[in-house]
Amino acid sequence: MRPDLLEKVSGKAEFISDVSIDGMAFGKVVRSTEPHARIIGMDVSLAEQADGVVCILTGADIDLLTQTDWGLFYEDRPVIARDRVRYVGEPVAVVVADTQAGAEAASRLVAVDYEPLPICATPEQALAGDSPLLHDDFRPISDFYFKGTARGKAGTNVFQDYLLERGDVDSAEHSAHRIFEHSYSFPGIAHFAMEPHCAIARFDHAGLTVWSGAQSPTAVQKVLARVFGLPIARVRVIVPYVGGGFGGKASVKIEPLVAAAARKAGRPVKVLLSAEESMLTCRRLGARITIRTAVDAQGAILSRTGDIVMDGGAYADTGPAVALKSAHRLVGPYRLPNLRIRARAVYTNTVPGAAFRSIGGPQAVWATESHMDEIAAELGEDPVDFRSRHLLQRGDAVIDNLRPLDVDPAVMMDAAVEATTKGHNRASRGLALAVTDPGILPVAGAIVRVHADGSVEVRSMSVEIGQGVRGVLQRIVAETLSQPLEVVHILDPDTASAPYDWGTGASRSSMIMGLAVEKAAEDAVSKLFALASEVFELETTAISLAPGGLDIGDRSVSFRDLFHAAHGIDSGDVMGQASITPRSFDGKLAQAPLFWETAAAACTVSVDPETGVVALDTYAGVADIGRALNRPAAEGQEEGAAVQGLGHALFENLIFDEGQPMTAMPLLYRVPRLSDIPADWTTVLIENGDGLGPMGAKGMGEGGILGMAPAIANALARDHGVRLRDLPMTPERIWTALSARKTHAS
Amino acid sequence: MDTCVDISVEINGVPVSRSVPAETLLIDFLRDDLGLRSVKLSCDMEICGACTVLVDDLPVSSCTTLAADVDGAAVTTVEGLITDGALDPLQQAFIDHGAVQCGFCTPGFILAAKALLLRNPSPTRAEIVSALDGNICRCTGYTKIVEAVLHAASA
Amino acid sequence: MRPDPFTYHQPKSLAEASSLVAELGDGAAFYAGGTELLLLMKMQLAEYRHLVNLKNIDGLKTIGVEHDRLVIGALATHYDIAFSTAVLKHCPSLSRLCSEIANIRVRVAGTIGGNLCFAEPRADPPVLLVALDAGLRLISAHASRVIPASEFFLGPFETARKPDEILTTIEIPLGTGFASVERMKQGNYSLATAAISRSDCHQTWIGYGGGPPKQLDGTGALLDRDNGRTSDEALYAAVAEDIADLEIPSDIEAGESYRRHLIAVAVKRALVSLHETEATGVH
Repeated sequence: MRPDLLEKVSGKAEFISDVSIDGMAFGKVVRSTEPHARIIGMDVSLAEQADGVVCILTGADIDLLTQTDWGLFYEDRPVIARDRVRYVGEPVAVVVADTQAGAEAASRLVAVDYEPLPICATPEQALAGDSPLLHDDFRPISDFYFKGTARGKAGTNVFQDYLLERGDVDSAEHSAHRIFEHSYSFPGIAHFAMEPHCAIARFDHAGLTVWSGAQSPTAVQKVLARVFGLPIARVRVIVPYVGGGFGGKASVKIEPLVAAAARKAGRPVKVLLSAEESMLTCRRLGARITIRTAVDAQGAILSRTGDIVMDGGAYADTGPAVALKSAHRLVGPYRLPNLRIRARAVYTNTVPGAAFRSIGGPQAVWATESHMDEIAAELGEDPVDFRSRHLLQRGDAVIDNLRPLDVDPAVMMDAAVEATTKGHNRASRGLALAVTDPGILPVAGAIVRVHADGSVEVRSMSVEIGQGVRGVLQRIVAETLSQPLEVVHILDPDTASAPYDWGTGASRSSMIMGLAVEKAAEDAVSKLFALASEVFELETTAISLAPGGLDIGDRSVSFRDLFHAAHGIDSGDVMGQASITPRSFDGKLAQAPLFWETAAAACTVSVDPETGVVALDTYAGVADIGRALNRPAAEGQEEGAAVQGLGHALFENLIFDEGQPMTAMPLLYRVPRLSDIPADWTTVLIENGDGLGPMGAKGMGEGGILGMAPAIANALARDHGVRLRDLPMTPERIWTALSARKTHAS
Repeated sequence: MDTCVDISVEINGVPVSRSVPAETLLIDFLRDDLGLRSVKLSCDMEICGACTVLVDDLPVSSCTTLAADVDGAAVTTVEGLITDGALDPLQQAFIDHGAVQCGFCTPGFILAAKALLLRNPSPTRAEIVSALDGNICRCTGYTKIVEAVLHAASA
Repeated sequence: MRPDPFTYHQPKSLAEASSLVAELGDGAAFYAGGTELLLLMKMQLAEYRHLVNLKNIDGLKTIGVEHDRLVIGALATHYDIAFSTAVLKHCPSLSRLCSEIANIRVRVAGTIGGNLCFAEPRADPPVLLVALDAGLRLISAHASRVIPASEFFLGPFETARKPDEILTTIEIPLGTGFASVERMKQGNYSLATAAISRSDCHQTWIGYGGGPPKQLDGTGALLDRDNGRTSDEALYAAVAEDIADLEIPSDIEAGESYRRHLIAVAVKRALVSLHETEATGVH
């Protein structure tokens, strides 16, 4: 059983928003109401006089900061707006007061004067020759959080321009029998984690301590060290339970702002955003994707080109990596002899784009899998057969120089088809496949400490965000130490006690941290054996693990006995430690990706022809995960991801009108509900034990989000005769398409 | 000029009497005054159900209820479903079926399901959907939540 | 979010409550379920220095039949109404509607009176109640009057209720025929609502999100002529003509032409459920 679940169902789990620190004050952020403007004046005098107000942080407080701007690819984002704002929702002040209510009330008294500037409301406007520039200069930083450097273009709004090329597309198109080109759009999407962003910061003699609902605590630590001119050793980040993230709490978000407020206040400050504010903090990058495929006379694919333009919002954040991955994820599990995919990400005056479950994946797969069905329809071929003719096999290259494919796409496709065949007409099913290369850095460390009473503590930076990582780590350590599950305790991630880890995201924790704790537990075992060997004067070959202690020769000793014999008192511990690096396990982790995260999805839908309301009737999702380390948790990851896919397929849309967010509010932003979920739902996990992780596991948790939208669109096209190319597929859009078809037919 | 309101309420079976400012929201009263941190603040506009508590066995959004409104009533949070250290069958079913991921929506879901089972001990899937459709979970995809409630009802 | 501080009044009688609001003026509001009012106050969209709680006044939650009327206390919650055997027996369309409003928590806390007085143009109950020819009783310290629901709703968030008047009961005439209501809902609010009642003639009303419920006279007349057996095409045409001059909202939730279409669909579906109701003979 997962150790977190008992605490969660009984109300005992302490989430970041539940944490309280002695003497803390509360901060409320004042946000820009303008999409692009100069700040020409700010009056905080009324707010300062309000009851219980401690201080007000503004852009004038740059003396508190060693570095005023931060970022992951570019140092493009001010800790707090100084003279200019670039999106509606950008922090311009933080009102700190003794109570949350006091901070909220006083925050409404801050008056800001803006002088509006011309805006880039859309990527098209941002790309136009005469568009206003959001950032005057680019200050790229390399290998900071992701490997590599963003390829932005100075003097434009383009902050990433990536090209993936293979073979000779021009010649292929020249010799083609037919060429198909379609264009698809994908909206900005809110993460909508149930717990909004929250952080607490405290400066004291030891330095800076931050409690945060962060997925990447070490990135937060690194950025805070730079912003405040502190050694990394003096910045401590602690992460309790986090109420959902999905990438929206990855890299760094509100922590520099909260820490700046705490520095000014001279006491700890907690900032808990509202759900609405979280929607103004980050979002998935929207995209416009044009895709073109050339086929020969037999309908075999000769080449594919893709042009991806992503709406990156006001600050780059991890957008350059999102764009790069979208290019990779547009390829699909198909033989494409010639390939040219360009992915650009541009600044616009909207909420900053950021990582979101399978970065760039849903956008790319939406386009490429809709396009595959459109080609099959044009060729008069069954989409399963058309895909089958082009499917890659295990061991094939998806992208040159990356690890060969480690799954069998045909097996996955067949499983999805099979699960949705019962009682349904084959012709009505919508199908989608996907392959993605998770951006996992094989860098992690862990400590496993065995105490005299037999309890075991595990220290790692992997964040329990709902995926069940604590249960997985607990199981691996318990099995490696041959101890019962309940003696293994997973501590809250704390940079002061756990080794460096890249972060919780990209489907990596069970696999990479799983390997790290396994190695650390093995290290603890060898230290225990060495100690027993020394104390009891035995060969280590005569020693084995037993619940609560060791078997030595023909007798058992408890850990307490061991330490008693070793130390003279019955106290002590053994600390196992391990690091995973690209050179671990003879370098077998060095090649990217560590595994291919793949997906097959199939569904049937029904449509109310009078209203365009679509209902998902049947859904099957297939994932090849190597080994399920916790089956309900693994299934739950798949199902939850697919339902997030249902959200952007049918409902969700962060709309900006001239930079003003129109739906960034829970009342106006429709996420999937229980009544949207069909009873006929199948989750297939393929387990061949062929992953590089513990017990043959691969990473997982992202694949399920990929196939839903194109599978629904393909089912709509096949069963109802309408092809939707813009998400979300709202009833109005479907009704409009159905009406156009009726008009066309008559 | 604000006023305080005297309220007497039974919280998880324990009588509580307090004087609170009239504008005090039930969620703040439960979390801040009484330390019942299982009551979660999420959407803050009555649509997500994370702040659900039972008032006289019926679910309400504590984010948009005054503490004064529960004067004379019995309020239940998930802490109150545990009797003599034993979990309620619904709590156990949520664990057994993996109906919990991040856990932030979980107390609200369990209470909404509890209210359903109190008035309808063997609901159909459709009745469960209707009763829980107003609670949002962003992690699980809901399937395992339905399984858990069906199982708890049949146990 | 939190409401600004206010003074909380707990009168024990209608006269006391009404006098309090009359005395306190604009800064005072009657307080019932709070599902709308508290939310607005939290969002700083409404500011009241005084809330006058009506929940401690006896008798405002009662539901029952009095003479030839189903009388519903204004402080009955949507949940109370949905589970009331009297409502189920005499007005099943209202039972069903109240069992589907918003979510269970809002149904448990929100009152029918609060819903009507708020006059949210996207709300469904007003549409059904005008079609049912309900009367709304308004009581102040000095007077009591009953006005037809059709005269109560004046515009978005605007009613005929005077500031010191308290809506106390909703009175639905019995034995006057069958009624049905259908709504087209995709997000949190209805895009179109239609209600039809039929005694000696078809009363056809719609809600469209832009103003008070609107009666479709031409459509009603057509249904009367055809004895309710109008073809879809003719019905759609009649509805389209009835709403041709109506200003229909067009926003991010839905465009105007789709909304116009949904109004016709709602009317058609209300007619279908009216026929089903008549066929089963259950009012």
